[in-house]
Amino acid sequence: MARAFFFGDRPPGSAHLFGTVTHVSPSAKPAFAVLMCHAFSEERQKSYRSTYLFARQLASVGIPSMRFDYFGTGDSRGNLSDVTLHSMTDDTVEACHEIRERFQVDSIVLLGVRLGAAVATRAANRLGDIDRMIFWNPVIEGRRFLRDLTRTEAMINLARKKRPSAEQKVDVTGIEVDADTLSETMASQLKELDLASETQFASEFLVTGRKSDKIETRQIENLVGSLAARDKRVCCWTGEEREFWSSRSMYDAFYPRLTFETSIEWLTKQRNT
Amino acid sequence: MDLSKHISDFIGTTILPGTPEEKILASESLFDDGIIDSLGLQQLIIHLEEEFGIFIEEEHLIPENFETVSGVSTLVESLAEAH
Repeated sequence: MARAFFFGDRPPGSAHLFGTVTHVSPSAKPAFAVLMCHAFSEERQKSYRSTYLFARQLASVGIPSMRFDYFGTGDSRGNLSDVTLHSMTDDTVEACHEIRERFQVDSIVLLGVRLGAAVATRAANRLGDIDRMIFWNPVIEGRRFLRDLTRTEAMINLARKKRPSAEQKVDVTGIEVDADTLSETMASQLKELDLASETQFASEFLVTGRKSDKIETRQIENLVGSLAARDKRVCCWTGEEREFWSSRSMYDAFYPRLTFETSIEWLTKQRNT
Repeated sequence: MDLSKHISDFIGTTILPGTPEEKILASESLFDDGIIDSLGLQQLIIHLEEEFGIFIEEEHLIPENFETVSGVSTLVESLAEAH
């Protein structure tokens, strides 16, 4: 059963974040709960259905979970222009407190989808008690992610041989993304992001990625290598699966079945160890 | 490797299959001649980044760099040298 609610305390009592918990049978005594950290921007919308379906699959094997929207995104309060990687990390830390309280579990597994992997990493580092993480097709190089977010319009203009008009150049205080504005702060934080070199508090990782894209596969290999070099236990799965975070429609019936199966299997093993 | 030939081969086999190499190489505007549209441009950019290990910034997305095969070659060479 899923239940939606508002939570969060910035400022106190503001309940600025929107979350959804998916419960398991009341008689179950879950060993841990999974907190899903969404992808960002259009990728969040397109992967939303997959996270919803995964929450249901988790519940079917007795694992409770929670999804939430970062401040300024989805159904949470605020505007995209207020969002930074720091604010997303703050929100994730609050969500960790919320999921612990709601399910009365000591242990949480953070599941980061795309940019959510970096956010989950920073939240885990700040909390200092998250041992296990799942990264679904993580954004590893923030500079490339930012460029991909913003270049679609630039490519359309280029193919029409249009340069930005004077009007478009005037008074730009942020970056246009999905008919909303990304702050310069967020843009510069994204440019500096390199997930492979981030400190990682957790000790157990499942990293999934696609095999078909050369750059992406190389980046995943680098990330896994850097985790292993720091004595982390890493399970890596790459396969020929479509990009569920960029499917053409959020109502597309497609979901990443292999990613789901791999994740459920890994989580089940974690529960039994 | 002949970079211009590599680019025209990719365009002629992946972006607009069947387009003669001479037509692609001779084109003074791949956009005006209907050889590349915005989706084709995306395919080309991803291919170049993967093949040559370069990173094409938004500031590089100007007609001078993508309107002709020689413009694309010059851009790729300069980015590959800087890499």
